Amino acid sequence: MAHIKLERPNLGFGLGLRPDHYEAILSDKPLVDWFEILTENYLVPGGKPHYFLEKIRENYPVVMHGVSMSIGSVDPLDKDYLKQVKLLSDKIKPRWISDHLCWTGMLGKNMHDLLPLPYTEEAINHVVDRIRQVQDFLGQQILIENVSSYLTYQQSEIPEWQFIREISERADCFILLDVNNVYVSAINHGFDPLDYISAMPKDRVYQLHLAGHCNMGNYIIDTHDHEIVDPVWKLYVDTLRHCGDVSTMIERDDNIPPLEDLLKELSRARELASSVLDEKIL
Amino acid sequence: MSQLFLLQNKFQDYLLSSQYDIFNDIVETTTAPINVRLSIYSEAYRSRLIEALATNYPVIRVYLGHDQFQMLGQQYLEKYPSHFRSIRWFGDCLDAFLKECETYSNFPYLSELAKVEWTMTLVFDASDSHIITIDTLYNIPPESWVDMQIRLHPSIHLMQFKWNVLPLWQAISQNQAVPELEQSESPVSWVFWRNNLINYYCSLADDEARAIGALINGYSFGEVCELLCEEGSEQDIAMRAASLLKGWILSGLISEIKY
Repeated sequence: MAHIKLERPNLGFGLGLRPDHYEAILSDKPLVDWFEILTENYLVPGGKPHYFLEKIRENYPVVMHGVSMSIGSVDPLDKDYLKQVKLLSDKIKPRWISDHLCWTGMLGKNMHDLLPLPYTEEAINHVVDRIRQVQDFLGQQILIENVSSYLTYQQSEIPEWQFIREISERADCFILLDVNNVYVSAINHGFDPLDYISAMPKDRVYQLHLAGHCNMGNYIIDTHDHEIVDPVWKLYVDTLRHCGDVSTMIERDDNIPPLEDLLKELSRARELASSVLDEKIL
Repeated sequence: MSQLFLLQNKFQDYLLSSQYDIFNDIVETTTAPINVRLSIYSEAYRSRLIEALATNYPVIRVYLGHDQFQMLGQQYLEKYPSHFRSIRWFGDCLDAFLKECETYSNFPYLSELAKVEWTMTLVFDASDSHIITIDTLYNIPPESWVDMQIRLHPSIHLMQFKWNVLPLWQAISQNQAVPELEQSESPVSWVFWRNNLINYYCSLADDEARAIGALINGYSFGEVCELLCEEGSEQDIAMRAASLLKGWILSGLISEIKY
């Protein structure tokens, strides 16, 4: 089925839209190029979430980012959920829709976690088929995001970067590359994050995520409750060198600081991206 | 069954009931043992869901205290694992669970307090709707009053409680001294609604509760008046019904009057 073809636009530098910042965004109109909303937060009938979203999107472009599509689950795709996503999309006209390359539950239950898939041909075929169904239903290509993981399955036959690359190419979808997740998984599994980044099909990477994490010593947990650490900033620069200018946003989900703190981090992303662009010009 | 099904089934069984069949499917490493790697997921699962329960039930969380609430969350999660796409809806059966669980069934007000909190969440994100002003009432021709249909705001919920759980909820929400728990002889009716993005609630006299209940069930204004007639003269009832209607409009309970 033909989808609306998305040219890779660069939305600039965005933030995750969080209720803690609703009032500040409306009153201060901060220098943020766009906002990413958590889809599920707005799959409610009405009230404050929709009120603030409507107001904010009068001034800013938005994209939708879901956590419950469960694209890798063995359960049938949840058509009711997809209908709700489409209704929201028709209403708020996001620049694109993304979700995670993972599964969140099976047999009708939801673990509300981004659980890893085995990197196998079986899983590739399964996910590719489902992404195609979702894209047909929504009438547009979607973005899939790499998740952080804490274990490796015996079944896995290929590295994660090959898995996501294969899926994006076969399903003809795009990639939301979470730079922090690459770093977290690299530490947890002992691979070189540059191997991951350099394997990304650059034209398919439509968005980057940056976030903080929690270092537990032997492993790292992707908590989104801290500032972005220097090694992740460095990896962000490497990513831009490989992929070129890509829409970038900072995800903060817990221990949410005042908006000004996130704006400072966003300024750093702008400066780093600008320096990479300067390198290319020189 | 596919390999993917078997793997996901084992993983989910581990999260739901700590079954270790998944163990042999995980690669052993020197940096972190398999049980540590798996426990990152199981701890995240439990803490995320219990945190979601606390978000929907902040007053019960404070009332019970951290440790007791964690225990409640764990027990609830075992009995009612989420089948929702959005975590927002997790906890919909807490009032029923508090009634049926032996630990809590001797404290029946807890179930009512849970009903209050869940209702507050439903009011918070219920559908939006226009509300009418009092001018609407003045424009209705007298001959249309009997058959007019009154549409309530979609956020309205009519509840009955035996215990003084609303004063309890309010005191804990505002960090004030908790009132002594009291049980009334007969249940007290309360209406919850949202106006201008703010949640409201108030107790109702019996006749007002019956009238709102009738409107929820689609009765016309004339039929509501007939219900009220069981308690007084026709003249008094007409005055009472008109007074109630005016109060509802001023409070933002009415979305539309069709006549």
